[in-house]
Amino acid sequence: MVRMLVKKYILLPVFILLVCCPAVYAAEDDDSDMSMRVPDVRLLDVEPNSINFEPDLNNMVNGWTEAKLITAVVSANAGWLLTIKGSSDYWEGPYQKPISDIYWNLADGEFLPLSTQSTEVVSGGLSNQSGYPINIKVKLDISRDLPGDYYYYSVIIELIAP
Amino acid sequence: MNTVRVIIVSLAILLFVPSAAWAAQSISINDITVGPATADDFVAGGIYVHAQPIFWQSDEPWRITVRSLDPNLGISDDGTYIKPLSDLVWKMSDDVTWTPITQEEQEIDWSSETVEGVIYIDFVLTLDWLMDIPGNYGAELVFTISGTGTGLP
Repeated sequence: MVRMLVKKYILLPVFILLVCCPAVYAAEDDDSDMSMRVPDVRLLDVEPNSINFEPDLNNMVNGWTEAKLITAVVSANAGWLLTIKGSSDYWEGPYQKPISDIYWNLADGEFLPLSTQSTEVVSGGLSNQSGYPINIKVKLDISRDLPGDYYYYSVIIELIAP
Repeated sequence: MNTVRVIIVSLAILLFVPSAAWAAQSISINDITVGPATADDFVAGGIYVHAQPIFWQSDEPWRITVRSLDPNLGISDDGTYIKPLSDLVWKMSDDVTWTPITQEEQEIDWSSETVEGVIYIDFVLTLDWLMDIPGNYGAELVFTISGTGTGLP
């Protein structure tokens, strides 16, 4: 008799509770929107960032320094253009040594005179530390580039959108 | 008559049932906006979000899970690239193992501790120079707290 009552008056209400009050057993949620903007991103590293020429007698006679190598290392998630230009028309030094005495090439390409106008070196797309060798050499004037004199010049290499 | 008795007993149970049966939980986490991505972020391998707090309340042992509502992290501006959901990884701030987000529930933490507290979670939206072209990327994450009843997850 007691078991019958338990079934009738306890189990049935508990069943009703389970069916009618599911919220009691529900979990709680919270949403979080995570967002990020990825723009065009380009990164240029030039190694080394300074080179030094020490022309000897043979160089003076030949009219050229030896070529020195710099490497432009490019990373980008978009298209890019590598350019080179000079910072001014003349070197800093005892006389107005022209910018056009500086020549450059990419890898084994033709040597070209530097100017103050940006010149395309190479272009590309998605890149991860891609290296581009640029050789620099300097035209010498045996009558004006005298022993003991020092000249300085800044070459600007840029990575820009195409 | 029997119906009336059943209703009366139901109401009695509702009033006197142990509070644990009425276990209540709540959870709260803010939206997360990062970027725009920089070259440093690419070099680091992604954008790091450190110690994002998740506030919880529970009057019984609980577990917290996370899942994504989105199947991926979105499409690039030019429509040619779909950033995979697995590029968003997470870990407990005091843990060392990163786990990619999925659309399936993943357990973040559990405890038999009750009342309220905060746990901290780190995220990384990974970046790859060769894949992550310009775009707006992200996902809607769902954090869920649920009572375990037994004290075990």
